[in-house]
Amino acid sequence: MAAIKATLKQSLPITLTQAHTLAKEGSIKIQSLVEKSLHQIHSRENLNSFVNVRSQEELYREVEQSQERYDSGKPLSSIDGLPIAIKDNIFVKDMECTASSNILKGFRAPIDATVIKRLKGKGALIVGKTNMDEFGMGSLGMYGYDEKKIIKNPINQEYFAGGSSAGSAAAVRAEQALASLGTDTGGSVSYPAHCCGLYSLKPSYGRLSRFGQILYSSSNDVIGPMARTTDDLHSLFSIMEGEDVNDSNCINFQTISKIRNRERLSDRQGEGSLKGVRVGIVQEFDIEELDARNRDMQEELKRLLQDRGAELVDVSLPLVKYALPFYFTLVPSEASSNLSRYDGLKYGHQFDFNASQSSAQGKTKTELFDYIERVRSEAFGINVKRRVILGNFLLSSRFEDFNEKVIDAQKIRRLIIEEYCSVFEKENIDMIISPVVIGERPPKISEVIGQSDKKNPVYEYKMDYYTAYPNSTGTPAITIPVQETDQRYGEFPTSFKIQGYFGEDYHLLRLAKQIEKALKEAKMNFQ
Amino acid sequence: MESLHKHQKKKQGLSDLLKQYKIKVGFEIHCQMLTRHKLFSSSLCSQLEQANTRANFVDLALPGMLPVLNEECLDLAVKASLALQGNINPRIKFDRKHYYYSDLPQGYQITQKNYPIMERGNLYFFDRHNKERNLSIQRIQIEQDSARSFHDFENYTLIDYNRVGMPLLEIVTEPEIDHPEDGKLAVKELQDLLKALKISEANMEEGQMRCDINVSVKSPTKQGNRVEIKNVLGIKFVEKATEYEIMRHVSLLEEGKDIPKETRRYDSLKDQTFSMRSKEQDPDYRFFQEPDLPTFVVSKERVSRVASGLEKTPFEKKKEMAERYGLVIGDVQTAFSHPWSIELYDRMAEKREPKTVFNWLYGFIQGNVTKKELDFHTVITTNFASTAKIEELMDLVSSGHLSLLNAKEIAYSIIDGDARTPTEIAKANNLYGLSEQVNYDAAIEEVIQGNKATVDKIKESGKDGPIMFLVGQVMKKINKQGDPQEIQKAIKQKLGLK
Repeated sequence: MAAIKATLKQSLPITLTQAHTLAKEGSIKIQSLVEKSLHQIHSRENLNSFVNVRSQEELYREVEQSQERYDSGKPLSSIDGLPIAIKDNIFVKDMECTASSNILKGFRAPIDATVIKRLKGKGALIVGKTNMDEFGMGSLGMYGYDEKKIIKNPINQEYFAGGSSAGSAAAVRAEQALASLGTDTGGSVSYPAHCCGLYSLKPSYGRLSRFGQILYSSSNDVIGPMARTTDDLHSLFSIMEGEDVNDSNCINFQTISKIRNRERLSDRQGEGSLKGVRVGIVQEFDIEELDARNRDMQEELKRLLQDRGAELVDVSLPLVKYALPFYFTLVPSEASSNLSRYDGLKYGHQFDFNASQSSAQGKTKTELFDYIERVRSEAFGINVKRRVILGNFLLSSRFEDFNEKVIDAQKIRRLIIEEYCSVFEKENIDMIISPVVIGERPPKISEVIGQSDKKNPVYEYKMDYYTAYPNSTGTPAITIPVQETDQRYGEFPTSFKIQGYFGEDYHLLRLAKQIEKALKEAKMNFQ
Repeated sequence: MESLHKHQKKKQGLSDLLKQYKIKVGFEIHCQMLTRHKLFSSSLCSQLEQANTRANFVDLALPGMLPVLNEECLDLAVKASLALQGNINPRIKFDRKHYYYSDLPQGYQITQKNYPIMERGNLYFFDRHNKERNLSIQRIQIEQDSARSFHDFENYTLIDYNRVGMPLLEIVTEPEIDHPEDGKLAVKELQDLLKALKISEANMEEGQMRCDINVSVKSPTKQGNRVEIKNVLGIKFVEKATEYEIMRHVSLLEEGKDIPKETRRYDSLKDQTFSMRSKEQDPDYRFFQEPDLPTFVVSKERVSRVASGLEKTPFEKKKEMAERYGLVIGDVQTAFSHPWSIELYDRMAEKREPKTVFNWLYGFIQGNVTKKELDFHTVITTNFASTAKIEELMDLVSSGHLSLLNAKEIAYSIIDGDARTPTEIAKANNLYGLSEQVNYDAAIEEVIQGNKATVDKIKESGKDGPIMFLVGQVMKKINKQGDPQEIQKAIKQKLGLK
């Protein structure tokens, strides 16, 4: 314990980039980074950010190997030996993987997800699995399998940390890991990143493999990294991305990158310069409901971008307003389908069906459908049940009017994507900017929990107005934390989002890096 | 004897009924594709392995697992589509069909609803009058098989996941069949095609091919509802189940009753169909496009590559065979019920009279083999040394060294296991004659003299039966070396008959 305190005094690095540099210089030991992680995990246990932490022995074995590589001057990558936290819906071999659902209690991942395999291959040190809303359904981190274990915001524990990747965001903010992975269906990475003042990337759909990811909405779900800098996002993304034979939707973007050639911005340009970058200002993002803080921030941001040489272009994306109806039609439909494999017959939650049988001396068998019904009723949480029932209703042929809507939703998605791409092409823009969410600060736990159940789901749906859009289009988006120079809104930062053209993830990361520099210089960054 | 009588009565009843009622029968045929790996996983396909040894994480629908299309299956589906002359969709998609059951680990089956591999094809076949006909194919879709359940245990259902995810082709026909026998012939033709082109082993008893039949019957005044019979497992049961179902519909219609829209099953032991569920009880499948798979392009290159290796269908081969050798379709059908024998037939018919070769191979030999319940293929390949001994027999007859009757006797003893050559057997039994005409005139004279009563009877009635008796007597006298037909002719001549 004394050793830990001693190393903490050294004020250890809090980003991947710093940590790697120091480890390479030999000025810090990998062991101290991991010790700090474990210390933070245990001392801030009340955040409920983790559902499963790896044993110290196991970690130290990896620490030793990593340290040897650094000592011989051959670290595997810029993330070698660095502690990273993984959302509990991504397979890490031999660790329990439940997506915070009782229905998967006891289920151990038999393999590594493709992204995990790639991270491990580059020496990443996985410290544990983070808490989340069950199957990723939720925006506040309050629908985990233990409803009492709401994920709390490390900035102020009376507030939510966002959702559904709440644990992954809280873990990084609380210095329990240097970076983390979340998954995003309609803002599940960007919203918790916003709440906890982190950078996050939602990559283009198909850029990161979904193999080994417990999916809830197959056509929307993507894995996304969260960290404290764009460089860290870049490190993680570049290691994880790329074609995977196990995921038919994960393709080689090198072959389609010629759609548009966006290489204008290079690192040779001046620090913080955004010269020549064309930024779309979307008319439809300026809505009545937007709060004063985020509205002002958008204005401030425009000024900042212009100061750095960017050109602002007014654009219109009229179909934005259909993104949310699309989202809430397709997502529950896919959820009901994807979750139909959880029947308690093959793995996860089961009850003893022999008991009921023997009591009646074999006269009444447990009927299959009764069994499945009971397993699903017992094990799924309220929010999952809501979406599954809604999805089944939408897909049912008995309600043809609604069934049609699912098909319409798929057609609308096509139109939304076409509009998005054509505006980017026609106006030759590099990115568009938008708020991440409506509201000056994250919701207070006591204010939401106290309310009647009826209000909750709708309240959460509204929050997805900005975040669901890039999932509908499958395009990349980066969340950038920001704070007013006078900090007049208190301890919580806000954030904004930049969104790019399909497949231009690296270009967007380069733009984000320039913006990060500009924000630092303007003292608007959040640390 | 009684059942045969019942059967004939049923047939007669049916053909009378068909004059008044309009029958519409169509099929949905599932066949397992003959591939090394499953449709969306890398598991090996095998029917014979020990239970639950051919199922991986994808097959068991573990979370996090994704389907990846096995392109082998796409090639076979293209092959079937080409053989059935349909329109291959340039872009195909997969859909999820949902229902809960213990044999369906995903909770849905991946199938094709809106963009199947093929639409609007044709299955050509020979109907019960051996006339060339066409049954329109509505569509072919690629889909996953389910696991296999064993319910025979009192308390448990056991599940073998080896079958889950095996690739199936579902071939849907239009309801254009109007006679149960034609239905059977069409399904048989399709089965032959799938086997010949190595698309499927298509063995119905093994469940590699399963047939759903839909039947509707229209009386002069009333159109009956469509009824589906599930999972008929055997070609002959296709006919029997259809027959039963038509009769059932007709008697309901005659009583003025409605035919409920329903799904039934056929019990082959009882030769009856039983209701499984009404159409209202059908599960709501909640179809929607499989989001874990992209749209697949069926490229022109793929189609032409498959087309270039496409063999002729059995139907085409049958037609060709009939034309080349001047055989009737009925004979050709017999030959094709043993596909392996076609090559042997071709070899022998090249140098000989095709009809004689046919009679030898599929008449004398196969007839005797069937009677003795032996395996035709084994008998030909081992007992007859492929075609060598058959050719020898035919040549001995045509050169006049052996009478046809004796040649047949020799063939039968070879079937029974005599390993000597036909010539050896003929010589040993003193049946081997000269190539000159055997002189049976004296023998005929002797027999006519010795059977006066019979001769009188023949002259009176002119019937053939008693003549055959005389032929037999003559054959005895000449050690069966003559040709019975020739002898019959000679006797007739002698007696002054035509």
